[in-house]
Order: sequence, then structure tokens, then C-alpha cells
Amino acid sequence: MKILLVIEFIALTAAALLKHDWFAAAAGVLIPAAALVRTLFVWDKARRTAIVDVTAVLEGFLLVWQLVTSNWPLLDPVYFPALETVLRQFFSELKDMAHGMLSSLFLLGTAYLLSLGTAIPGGLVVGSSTRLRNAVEPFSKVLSVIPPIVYIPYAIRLLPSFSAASIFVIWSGAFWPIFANTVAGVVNIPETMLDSARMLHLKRGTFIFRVLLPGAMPSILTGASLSLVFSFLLLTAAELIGATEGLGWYVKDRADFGDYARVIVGIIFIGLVITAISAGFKRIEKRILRYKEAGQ
Amino acid sequence: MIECRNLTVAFQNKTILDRINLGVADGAFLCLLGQSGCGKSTLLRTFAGLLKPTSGEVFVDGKAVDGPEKACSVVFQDYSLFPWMTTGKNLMLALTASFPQKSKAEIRNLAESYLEMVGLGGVFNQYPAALSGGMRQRAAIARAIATPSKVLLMDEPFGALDPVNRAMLQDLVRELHRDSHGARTVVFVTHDVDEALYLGTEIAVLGSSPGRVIALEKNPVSRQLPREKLFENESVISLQRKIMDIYRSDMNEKLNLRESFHSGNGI
Repeated sequence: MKILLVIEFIALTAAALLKHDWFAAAAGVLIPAAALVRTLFVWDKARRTAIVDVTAVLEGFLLVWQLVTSNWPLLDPVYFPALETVLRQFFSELKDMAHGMLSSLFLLGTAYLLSLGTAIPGGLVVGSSTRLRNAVEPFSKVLSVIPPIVYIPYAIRLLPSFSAASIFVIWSGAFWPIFANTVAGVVNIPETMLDSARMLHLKRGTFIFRVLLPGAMPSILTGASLSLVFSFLLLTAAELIGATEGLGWYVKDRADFGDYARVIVGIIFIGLVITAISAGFKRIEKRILRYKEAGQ
Repeated sequence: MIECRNLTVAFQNKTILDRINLGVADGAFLCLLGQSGCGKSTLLRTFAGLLKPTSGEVFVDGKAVDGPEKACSVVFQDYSLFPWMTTGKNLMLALTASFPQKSKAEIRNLAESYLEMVGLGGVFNQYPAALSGGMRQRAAIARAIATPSKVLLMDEPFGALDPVNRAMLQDLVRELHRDSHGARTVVFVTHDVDEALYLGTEIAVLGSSPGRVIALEKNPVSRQLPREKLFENESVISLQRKIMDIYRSDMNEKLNLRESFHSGNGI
């Protein structure tokens, strides 16, 4: 793969320079360079190979893009803008997109925290009582499978603002995976462990925060990461329908004007933002569950 | 210290324990011996108040047991410690619940000293997953004796350990009980006859289906002799033989019961 990467690097840079596509040429140089620097800090051989492979795939993709849009323009430039155009737009649009991102993240953060704040306590309560669990289960089974997107028109009509409506829709989607997994997490705490806690005669609050919550935590985190993905889907869907700002709206608005270079720029930006947030979530998850790795 | 009268436990019409009458004297070390499924763990759980008997009563320290009993602390075969807390924090949690008036520094010192007592100095900040099975049980014992309970209930605590660790922990429990000078009563569930002979000052043999006490023996020499001498002692050897015979006849009875089921006789 190393040789392939070198060939791709030379081809992409040369093709871009030939057409005076300076941004594309810079990408052709900087991406392998960044990967090279990264490998210097990784000792694990398998991971170093993985970095080289991933970079080769990316560089190859960019090379093909460069060739078919700029050097031999085979595709319709309206729908398939050149690599150079997209890269230029990406940097000039950064400010607008950052603004959209803040608006989106505000909605997402509010709704997501709201669903954590309702689903976890609810799940802990329902999970610790068999009777309550049996009473709630039929409802949660039906409600949790309804795609929350169907609430969007109703929510927009009923709630005072678009923000309130989209927060409601995201909440209603993110709630169930966290709730169901919290209940399952509590139910799956080994009975002996609970007995052991009972014999310590802990105060109610201590029992909930030091035993029940951490005992259910691995399962809660599984639900929370599912919900995070759901939230992104619902946020973008809600923004496509009724927003006046935000990342989903940005993409839809540019598409309405037939500006497909900016549509692609928006899609790439959304991808980067979601990847960054998911990576952050994984780090937090690993930190919380670090006790599991103590034996390895 | 513990007294149960006509104790019966049944689950869905299946009788697990049938009218058990048993008393455990202050400071005694009672081993509950029986084959798996005879209800010895169930009996232990009723002593702890973790299980409500279907009928009959349990008294611990003169009071009727109703719900998790404050006078008892428990060590299970596994899952005694919370894996999400360091070993030290596990002890501190129990100590804080027992001594709410003590400061955090005092609690911490106490936790450290109890860990040292069971030979676990230096693991305070380690998670249970980083400890071996034997070390985990040592920590669980430290947590159980750190609370001021008068009764220590142990449910096959060394069942999952290798022979060397098992012997070392048996010595530890024996020493801890001896050093308490009668302040602590222990009920220890096991299916290992030699373990019961080495540890117990009293041995109760439970018969199976339904569980009932089929023998109650005193083992007075168990505290006077070291392990290698104990199993050469005449009275211990005869006790061992006697318990083995009772054990075997109970097992045969259970097997015969099965056979008559299969052949369909009596129906």
C-alpha cells in the first residue's frame, strides 16, 4: 500500500498542478504528509499499516475526483463540482458553517441532555420494580418503535417555535434507547451484587448513585451512543423541514439554489462534526468504564 | 446468637427447606454442610434476612429477622465487591454506612488497616478486576469484618479458588475467628467435608429434597490443633467417617428416589 500511496500522491499533485488547481495540489501533498507525521507517533505496527491504508484509499478517491472533474471533465460540473471548487468553498464557507453548527449543536445538546436527564432516572425507577416494569413495558414497546419523524409536522404545528418542536422530536427519539437500556442495565445487575449491597445498609441515595447507576452504566452507555446517532438523524431531518439556520438547513438551502458545490461542502462538514462528537463520546465512555480494563 | 424455629422455605410449591430447627451459640463457628441443591445457601440467606421464610421464624441476636439484618455481614462466592469501585473505595463505602459520624480521613485509615489485616496492603487503589480471585475474597472478608456486625455469614466463599489459595484463606478465616475471642459468630456454607472439619466448631449436615438437618455434630478439637495434626486426631477421623457416612446415605437416597421416578413405580 505504501507504493500505491506514493504513486497516488505523485499523480494527484501533478494532475492538480497541471490545471493550476492549487488547493487540490495542497491536499494531495498535505494528506500523505499528515499521515506520515502521525505514523511517527504510533508504535503498534498494525495500526501504522492501517493509517497508511486509510490514507491510500482517501488519496485514491481524491485522485479519481480530480481526474474526472478537472483534467478530463466527464461529469456534469453542476452536480459534480471539481475537487478544487469544493476545497475552496470549504474554506470560504467555514464561518457560515460554524455559525450553523452552533445553532444545530444547541438544539442537539439541549434535546440530548433532556433525554439523558429523563430516561436515566426513569429507567432506574422502572428497572428496580418488577411491578412497575410490567406495567410500563407494553407502552414502551409500542411507543419506542414509532419513527419520531412522523411527529415532526404535528410538533411544528403544536409547539410555539421551531426550536421547541425540533427539541421535542429529538428528545422523543433519543429517549427510548436510553430508557430501555437503563431498565435492562438495572435488571441485569447480578442478584448477588444487589444482595451484597443490601447487607451494607446503604442510604437510599448512596444505593442509587454508588450501586444502581454504576451497575447499569455499561448498558446505559450503549443506549446513549445509539441515541446520539438517532439525535443527529432527527436533527438534520427536522432542520430540512422547518429551520432557518443550522447545518441541515444549510444543505437544503444551498440545494434549493442549485449550488451543489456548497451542498457537498455542507455534507462533508456535517460528517466531520458528527465524527468528532462520536469520538468524544467514545473517549468519555472508555473513561467511565476504565475499571473493566483493570484486569487486562 | 442465631435461632431458627420450624423454618420452612418453598418456591412454587417445591419445598426447599422443611421445618428447620437450629441454634447457633454466641461465638460459634458453624459449618453448614450438604450437597449442592440441598438448600444450604437458602438457609444462609434467610439468616441474613435476604429471603423471607414461607413459615417459621429466625432470630438473630434475640430479635426476629425482618429484612436485611444489621447484625449480619455476608461474603458470597463472587460479586461481593463492586467492580466499578477501587478495593479501598469498596471498604470505605461499607465503613461509611456503619460509622456515619467518622470523618473521611478516619474511614480511609480504617479501610487501609483492614486491608492490611487480611494481607492486602498496597491494593487500595486497584480495581477488583486487577486482583486475583483469592485477593478479591480477602478484600470481601476485610469488608465484612470491617463492619461491627456480630455474625459473619459466608456462602461457599472459597468455592472458586485454587487449592493453595483456598488453604491460605481457610487459615485466615480460622485466625480471624480465633482472634475475635467469641465476639463474632460465623456460619460457613460448604460442600467440602474437610473444610468443614478444619473450620467448624460445629457442623450441621443438611439432607436434600427437602432440605433438613440430618446431623449436628460438635467439633471441639478444631481450634486446638494445626492442620497437619488435625486430620491425624482420633476424634476428628471418627467424625470425618461419621459425616461421610451420613453424606453418602443421603446421596444414595436421592439417587434411589430418581430411579423410582424413572421406573414409574408407585404411580
